[in-house]
Amino acid sequence: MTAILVGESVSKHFGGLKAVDRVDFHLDDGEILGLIGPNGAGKTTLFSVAAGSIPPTAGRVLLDGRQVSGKSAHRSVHLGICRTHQIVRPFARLTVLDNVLVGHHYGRPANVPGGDPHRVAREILDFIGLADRAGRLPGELTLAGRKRLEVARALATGPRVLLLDEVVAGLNPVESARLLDLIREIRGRGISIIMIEHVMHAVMSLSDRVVVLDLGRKIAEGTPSEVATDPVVIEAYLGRDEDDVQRQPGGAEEQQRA
Amino acid sequence: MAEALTLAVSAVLLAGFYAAMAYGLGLIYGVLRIVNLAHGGIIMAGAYLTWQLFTRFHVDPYLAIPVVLVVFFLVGVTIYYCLVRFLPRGPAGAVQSLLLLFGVWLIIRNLAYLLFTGNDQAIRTTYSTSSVSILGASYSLNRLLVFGISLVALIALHLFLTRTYSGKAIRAAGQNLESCTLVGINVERVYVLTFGLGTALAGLAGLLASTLFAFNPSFGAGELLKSFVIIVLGGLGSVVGIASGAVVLASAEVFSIYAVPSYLTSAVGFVLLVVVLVLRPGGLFGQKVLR
Amino acid sequence: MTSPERALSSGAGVRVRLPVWLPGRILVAFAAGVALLWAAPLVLPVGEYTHNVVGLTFMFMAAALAWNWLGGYVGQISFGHAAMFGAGGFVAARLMLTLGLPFWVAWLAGGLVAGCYALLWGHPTLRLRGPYFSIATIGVGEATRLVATYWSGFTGGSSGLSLPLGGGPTKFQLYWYGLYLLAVAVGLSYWLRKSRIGLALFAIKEDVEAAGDLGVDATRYQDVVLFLSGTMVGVCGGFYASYQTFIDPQDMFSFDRSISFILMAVIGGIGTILGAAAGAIVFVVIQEFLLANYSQLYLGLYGTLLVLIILFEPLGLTGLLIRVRKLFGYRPRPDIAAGGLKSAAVGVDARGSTADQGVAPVEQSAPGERGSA
Repeated sequence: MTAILVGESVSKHFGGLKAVDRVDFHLDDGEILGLIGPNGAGKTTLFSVAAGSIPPTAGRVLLDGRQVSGKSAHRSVHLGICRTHQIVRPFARLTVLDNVLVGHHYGRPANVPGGDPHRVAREILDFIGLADRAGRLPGELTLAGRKRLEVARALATGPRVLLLDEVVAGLNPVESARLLDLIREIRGRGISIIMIEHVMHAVMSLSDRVVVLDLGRKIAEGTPSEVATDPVVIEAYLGRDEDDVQRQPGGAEEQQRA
Repeated sequence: MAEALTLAVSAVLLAGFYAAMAYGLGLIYGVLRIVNLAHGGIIMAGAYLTWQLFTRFHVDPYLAIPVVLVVFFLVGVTIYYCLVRFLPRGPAGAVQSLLLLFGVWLIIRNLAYLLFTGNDQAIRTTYSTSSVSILGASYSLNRLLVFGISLVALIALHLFLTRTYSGKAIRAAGQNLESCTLVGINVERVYVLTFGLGTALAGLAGLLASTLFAFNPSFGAGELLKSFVIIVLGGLGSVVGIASGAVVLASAEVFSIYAVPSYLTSAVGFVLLVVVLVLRPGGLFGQKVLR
Repeated sequence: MTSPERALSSGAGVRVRLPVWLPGRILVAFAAGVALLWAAPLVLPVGEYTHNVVGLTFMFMAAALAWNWLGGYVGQISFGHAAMFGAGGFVAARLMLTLGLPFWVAWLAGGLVAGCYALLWGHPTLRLRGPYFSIATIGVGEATRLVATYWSGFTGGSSGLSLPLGGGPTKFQLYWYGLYLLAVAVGLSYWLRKSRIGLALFAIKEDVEAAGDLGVDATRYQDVVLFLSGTMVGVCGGFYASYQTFIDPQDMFSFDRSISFILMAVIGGIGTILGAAAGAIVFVVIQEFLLANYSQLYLGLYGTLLVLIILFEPLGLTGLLIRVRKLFGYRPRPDIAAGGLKSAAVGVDARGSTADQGVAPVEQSAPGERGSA
């Protein structure tokens, strides 16, 4: 299995705060990689760096050997990496179809199929299960719908690597199961995926491998079962004394939104 | 060198006024996230009110301070109740509030034209031309008084914001709105208070301006701009931040005499703003660029 | 924006392939409209004064449309467009005066200079968003006015520049040149709104970061709009110079002039094409009326108009029109409000409510309805 996405000693500091601290990671072709860790571990920040939204303080991320970090977000999308947002950000006054069209028109040029853009967009909506809502506004969708829209938009950019940030959070078991199936199908289409998730069963059942972050550092890596039984990981989630760690709510993940 | 020192003192004196002027805008923006485009108009109105009190009722401008503060506090409250509170908050309301308050500014300007004509006015008291000698250089008494009053106002403001419940509520609203409701702060009341306070400060700035400059109904656009420059330079975080921004701007203006003809002095602020924003989109003190 | 249209085949059997976003019927309607307006003065018995004012109105409509590209489509409200209007006007005037260039060449040159000027100050400033940008534009306008007023060598200072009478087209003839200007502006407006690039612009307006995360190069598209807007307004400035045969910096670069562009677009319906055009008409009509009868209430009336529009009908005349049509059963397409005044999207978070902005959830997108406070 070849690694298509490689993070080399990625660091992101916000002033004195080390949101991401020398994290190495790799994503193999066709793999689903889970990225977990307690709140404030730096997961979303890592996504932002990998997707090019924010520049790393040190280190870099390479996609197929080409650097995708440290440029602009749109450049990275053109190179083939696209991320979704933890808090969904649909274009509120564009229809569902238009939302997807934005990704289609402005995504990765090489991989965007030719032909009628509307047909392509509708295909994606079909795949994601929103075809009957194409003409609606995102505000009219349920939360599950909006999460799907977020994924559909990202898909429309024709990525090689998809970064999914807590897509399952907040969904009921039925909805989340369907979305998880969808993610498997996306992988089946040849797209490699990194998932940030707090919903453990989702991550553990879906991921081929898991990387665990805590306080910006990678503390564990391995198969889901290896990680689940790793004492370091368990301690990070359960054993940390709250008084020792003074963090703002959301910690590093909130910082990077600024 | 002596000249440079004189200029430096002038810059400080000017900075005091600028800080007081900018604070009104900064307060409203910090809490309500609204840029009060009527700010310039209020300053102009403050100048006119002071002038009227002076010419009709022979009230010395500095003695008119309490009146001006109260009047414009009420004006601010009124504007809030009648207009601003209907605007959506947050980014969705940004454009609308800009245009709404801009409309208010136009109305204020027109009122001034109707009532007072477009001619320049000025306040000439018996001591208008007096000056005081400090370290061998002489400074206009008015400038010193304005500086002193600005200082007092800023200190009072600082104490209010840090020592009183209402003041702390205002600061809290500026930092984290959701949490305010959680701890039982009446956010609407905070908004009213902030808008009134910000307007009152602008009125005070107008009063002070009237003792220093001539003015007409178009007065205020430059002041609005400068207030904005100061906020970007110094950040909204504190009185100190605004004061620093004011000092930077005032110094730039005063010392630009060496480089640039005097009629372009007002443009200095704008150039400074663009330069700062280009080099440091976060402002000089890490002020966040709006989304 | 979302309905695909097929290719148009003309009766003669020649297949004409139109872009997806340009339905044949719109093109036909446009051509017909232009032709009608072109021929109208030859047929209708309209007095010369009215004829001339209509010509000037065409120019204002073009300028309002151009302003709207930046203000309505991208969502960045410029309070300083007079800077380009004046720049274009003075460059054109100078070229006509000093080099004796034909008027339309001068206009074009002036427009391009204005466009470049817009890029110069606008490119770095557009990093700012919302109110920050808007206030910066006030500064641009004012700074430009100051510099221009005192650069008397170029602009004639407070005395301004006078163009020799008879050197260029008459006010009467300018009617048709105004029409051409308007036609170009409408065409560009339609292209910017309906084509792919329109999608990018609205995405930028809604949420510039999310747009970037989907591959939209916001800087580039904003620059394009900036340049086009500046150029068009600059050409309008040149037109104005030819029309008045006299321009001075205090008027051309004035804050009031910048205001006028905003008012036109807002009155008519910011973000929409017909809106900006209609707003210009209303503006000119009110202006003529006011200047004749109540010149002292000029500003106050506009201020009141702005306030009323914002409070009651942020989509201006267009919004009113939609309301009326709703009475007859018309249901607006959901994204019409995207062209409207409400700027950046409210974030819809995991709980389905809005993020900490204190705004009502995103269910109120029907045009003309304000979100509740």
